[in-house]
Amino acid sequence: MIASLSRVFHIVWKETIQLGRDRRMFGMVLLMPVMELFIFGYVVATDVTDIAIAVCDYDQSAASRTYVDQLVHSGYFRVASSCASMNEVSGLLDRGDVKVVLTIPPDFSMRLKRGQPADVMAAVDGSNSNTATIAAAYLEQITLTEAVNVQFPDRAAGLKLVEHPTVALEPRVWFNPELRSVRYMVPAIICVLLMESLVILTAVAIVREKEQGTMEQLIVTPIRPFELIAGKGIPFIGLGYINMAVVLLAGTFWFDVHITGSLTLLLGFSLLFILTCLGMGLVVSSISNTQQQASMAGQFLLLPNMFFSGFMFPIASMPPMVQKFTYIIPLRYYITIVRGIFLKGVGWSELKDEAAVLLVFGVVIFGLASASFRKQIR
Amino acid sequence: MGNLAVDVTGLTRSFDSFIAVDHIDLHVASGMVFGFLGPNGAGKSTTIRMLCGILRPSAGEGTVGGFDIRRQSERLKSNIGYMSQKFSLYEDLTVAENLKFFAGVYNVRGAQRQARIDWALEMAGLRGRENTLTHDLAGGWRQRLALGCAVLHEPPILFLDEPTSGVDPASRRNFWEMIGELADRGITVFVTTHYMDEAEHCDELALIYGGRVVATGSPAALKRQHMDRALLEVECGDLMAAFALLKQEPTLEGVALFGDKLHVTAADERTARAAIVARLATRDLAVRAIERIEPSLEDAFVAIIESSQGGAA
Repeated sequence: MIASLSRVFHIVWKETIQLGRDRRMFGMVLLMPVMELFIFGYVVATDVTDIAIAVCDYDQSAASRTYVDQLVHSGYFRVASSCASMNEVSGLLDRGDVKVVLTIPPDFSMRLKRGQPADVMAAVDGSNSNTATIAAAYLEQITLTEAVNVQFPDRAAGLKLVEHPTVALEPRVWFNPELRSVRYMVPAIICVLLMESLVILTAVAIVREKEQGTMEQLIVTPIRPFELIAGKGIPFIGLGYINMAVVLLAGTFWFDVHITGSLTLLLGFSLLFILTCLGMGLVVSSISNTQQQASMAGQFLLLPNMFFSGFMFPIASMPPMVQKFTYIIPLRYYITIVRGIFLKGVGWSELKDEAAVLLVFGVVIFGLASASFRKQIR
Repeated sequence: MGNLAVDVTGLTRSFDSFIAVDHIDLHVASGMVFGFLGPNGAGKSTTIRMLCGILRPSAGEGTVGGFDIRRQSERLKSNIGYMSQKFSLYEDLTVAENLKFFAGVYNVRGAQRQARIDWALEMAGLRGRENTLTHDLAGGWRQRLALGCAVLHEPPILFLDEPTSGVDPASRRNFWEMIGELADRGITVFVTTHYMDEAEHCDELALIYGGRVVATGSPAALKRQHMDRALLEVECGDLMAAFALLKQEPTLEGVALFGDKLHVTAADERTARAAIVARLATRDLAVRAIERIEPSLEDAFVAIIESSQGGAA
């Protein structure tokens, strides 16, 4: 046993030297978290502000003007164009001058005075579904503080009425009150980086030995397959944690995104996901003969994980079939865990189901992969 | 466990329907330099992989260093050294780092570790270049470093798979001197090669062809057994005239110029000697010496392979 620990140690030692000596690679590995953080923090920001709207005010009353002012004061909307009649609605939207056309009916102020809920109609440009959803949500939110119902015209299904509830609702957004997308992205970037460094880099490190013929040398030594897996994996687990630290620090000090829950719990649950990733790395290494193939195959595995995990697109807005598919995506559970700890500060009892699923994934994928790896190097 | 370093019988390996190694028997005594010869694709590497415990034989039994090649592959691996033609070193590690890595992998520890690393540096002539990246070493140095790495743990048996391919002649000679030194220390060296001059350095040879061992024996014995023609070296005056004259002699099978001598091939040594003397006397050419010489290994192997193909057809 002592002998085998010494062999693992020597593989880790060798791997670390090799990693440090490849300057370009090392730089890339350290720069990657910072770059991704900035890309997702700034470029892919899903916050929508300053939405251009046009207002068709048939009422022209103090009440209707107050309502419009309120929208503008929220900071999310600006009146870009006025609109005299409903006939202009489609023209304005078609030209893309505005994203939303709000029509206020003539009886708006009268109904409000009588204490009846008034209806307004909001036609939203849905060509960018993301902006559209967010714009509609903001509109509803602000309007709900008034006794106003928002109607969304739907070309196919006629009017969709969002009724003002009889009980006045005052929404409070928890966990991310300013609705800043970077707050949502930082934890997710941790997950994706961990996956990238573990799956792709581990696979490349193994395949490099095949490509350069050193694997042939290793398999005639007394190194056991498990020792090789451990020796190859440990440096990249370390790297994954280093990346995590970089993102945590940059998130805290630059983006002002702080971790709410327990750091220990985060690191602990991460181990479950790491097991899964190492398994995927092994799978990739066993189907690849060159470093290039390994890196391509790794990207291939990473892509569905990024898209179907809720990393960029919320799972709730996916079609039902696709939503079912996301259950087999390991990253989905890990992102839920990390966001939970990060944003909500939830603990063991809320996350134990996700952790259990990850454990199953880890044991199954890692088990199968190391069995096939074992066969391959014998 | 006896004194056979390698002792296998009926060793067979097939890949699907292709039989790469077909019932071969190898018995290699300890402390011997054993040459395993054969053309590419004859089954050399497959055999070595089975002997090293990394490829399961389809059939056959045996031991290497006293360990069962099927059941004790882990312990077997600790007791052998292996080096392939790729000199599988880590090019982005320094000389010293490569040595330390393989020392660690073979569990060479403590004072022993430094002593062995020093020994390997000395043997490879790399003292003072410990911190050079392996990538920057020339082929010959790299080859010696690879050998050093392979014997750090003082294995009783060393497997070398075409260790000198792609290396300059001076380095090759140097390398064989190192092999000789290792053999003097009692290490059994099992080496594959296709250089005939290298085969001459071996104590014992086995020739593999089409997955079967077609001949075994010492280089001298192989040449004697398989070259039944006599090869005579003739020294005489006026070489060109003598060459033309002997070409006309019907009892001689072949005459060739060889430096300042003639090489004559014949079925029978005694009649050939008489015929040469008689022919040259007709022109008063003085015969200084006629000597029977050993045919080269290459001649012998061509004969062996031709006869084994003839037998199979």
